[in-house]
Amino acid sequence: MTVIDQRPESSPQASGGDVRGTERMWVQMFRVFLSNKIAVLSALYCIGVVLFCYVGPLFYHSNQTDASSSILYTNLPPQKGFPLGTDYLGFDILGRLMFAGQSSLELGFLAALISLVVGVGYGVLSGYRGGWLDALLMRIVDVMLSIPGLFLLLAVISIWGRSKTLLILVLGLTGWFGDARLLRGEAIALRDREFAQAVRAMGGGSGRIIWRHILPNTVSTMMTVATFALANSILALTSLGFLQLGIPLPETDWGTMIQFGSQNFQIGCWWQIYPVCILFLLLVISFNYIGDAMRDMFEVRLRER
Amino acid sequence: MIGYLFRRLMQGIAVLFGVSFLTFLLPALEKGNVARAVLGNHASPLELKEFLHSHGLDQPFFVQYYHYMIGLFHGNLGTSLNPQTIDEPVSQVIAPYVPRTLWLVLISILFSTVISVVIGLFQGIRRNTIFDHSMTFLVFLLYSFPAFLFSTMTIILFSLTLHWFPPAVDSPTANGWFSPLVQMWNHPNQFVLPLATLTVLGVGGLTRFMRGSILDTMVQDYVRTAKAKGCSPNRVLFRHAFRNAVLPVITILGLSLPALFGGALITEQVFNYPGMGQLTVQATEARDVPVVMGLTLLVTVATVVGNLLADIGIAVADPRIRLTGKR
Repeated sequence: MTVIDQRPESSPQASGGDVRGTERMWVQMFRVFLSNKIAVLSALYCIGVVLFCYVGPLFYHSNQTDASSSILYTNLPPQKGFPLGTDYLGFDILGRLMFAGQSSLELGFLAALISLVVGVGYGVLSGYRGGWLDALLMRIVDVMLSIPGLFLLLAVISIWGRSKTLLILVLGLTGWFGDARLLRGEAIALRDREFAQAVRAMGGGSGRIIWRHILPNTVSTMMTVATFALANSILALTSLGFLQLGIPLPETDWGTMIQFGSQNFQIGCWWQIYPVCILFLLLVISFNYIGDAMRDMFEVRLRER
Repeated sequence: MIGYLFRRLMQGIAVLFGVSFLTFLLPALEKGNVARAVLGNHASPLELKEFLHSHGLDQPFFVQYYHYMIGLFHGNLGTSLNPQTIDEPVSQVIAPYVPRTLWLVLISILFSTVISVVIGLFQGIRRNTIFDHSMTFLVFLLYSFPAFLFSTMTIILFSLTLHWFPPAVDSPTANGWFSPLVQMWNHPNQFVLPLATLTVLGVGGLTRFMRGSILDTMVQDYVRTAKAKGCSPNRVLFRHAFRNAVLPVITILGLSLPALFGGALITEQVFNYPGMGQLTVQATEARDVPVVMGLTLLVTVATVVGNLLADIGIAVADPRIRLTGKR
């Protein structure tokens, strides 16, 4: 870290938090990301999908809630007034993609947020404390990780049933086990570094070390973890929707659309399945490319160390 | 080696204890919800109380846990709450479904291992050629495909559009008889799409791993030594590099089991294959909690046993572990 060497009067805080080093690191990481053309394209696609779902309905009005008036228009092929046709309930597909996308993205985002907070807290606590607590907490993670995720989700849904809030909680609380393990490793690597010892020597408590020194140093791990958490929770939610165990009607999500679309393909309604499949597949691929690019950025940071 | 395997066995047993505690805990904590799932939302307090009493759910927590564990060791997982199979033992409901899913998963593991080892090996040798790049792209695509999307799209393409394969596996006969191997022998075309879906699920991750593993071993000292002492390129590759590169695949196979069982759940549901996955979905819809818990426990047992087998396989195949017990 040449930056620090140029500042002989640097405080221990600066050597721990790496204020100027961090700035340079961010710029460097961002450049690595930008040099990955496919990742940039993927990021643009994701932004595009978010805008499509939330800004789209402002410009494109369609009935998505009143089933009694839509029933006149069931299974119409693409035509004037319905650019992508209608579904089995008579709802406009283009508007349906936005409407379903909103719940998929919202639930996925909230679930990912919960799993990130829980996973980071759990992992950092386990790694920082160490000892018997660490052993206990990690054995619990071992147990949870050996249960196939979808089975765990269905087990919880079979007891509590399904509603929007419950789905968010269930997806969030069953998605953080791997994250916790990663963050635990980070915390173990950081807790005895010089800057943490310096804080301890000056009488700083564990809370300060974790909050001001360990967490800021795990930001890039957290970003990678967050990307995959978001991808995973949207994917799990869509799988549940596809199994017809997701958001109950009248709301809908992409998985439910894919399920009913594939059923109606047999009677020739191709417009009910292709758009949603293409939109969702590209989204999943984009997430994977962004995740990979994030990991490359992360490597840059490891080289820095 | 014995010490290493013993440690692994103990870890596996500890995990199974943990999972069985969870499958006990969830319904026990939420017994009101379980009762209402069966009796409906308008059940009177008296009915609720009778239900809890007759299912032993009104006893103290540790008494319930004691009975649960005693039952577990006798293969007793409780009784079904589904109106169609009410009061049948869970083990009896689940038993016919277990081998069906295991066959599906085992065969797909075999396929995906062979395919990804071959592709990964060639990618490793022909690094940075057009073949390597196009395979990397293809594998990334397959890796990204969610199970439900892949199976839906294969049905649309190969079954409903091209009419090459049927979109579903025949349902069991009226008396419930269904043997996966007999069915596979008589109607192999029904199994092409489900097995392809499950195989592709495995191929993505495995091929990526195999390519990296080959590239890693090709720069090791022992490979350079083999080259220096005049081994032919083929001998270097197969005698020295390949054997070392392929070993970790066994561990990865073990670790990919949970994802594979999740994929099997979706695949079974899509292709109407009467396995544990389809039973889980049906039991979840019927809110048949004991059956879902029993299935979750069983699938986890299969995962843990699979991981143990992978550990044993590695220990047998790798002298470093066989002799020192370390990796």
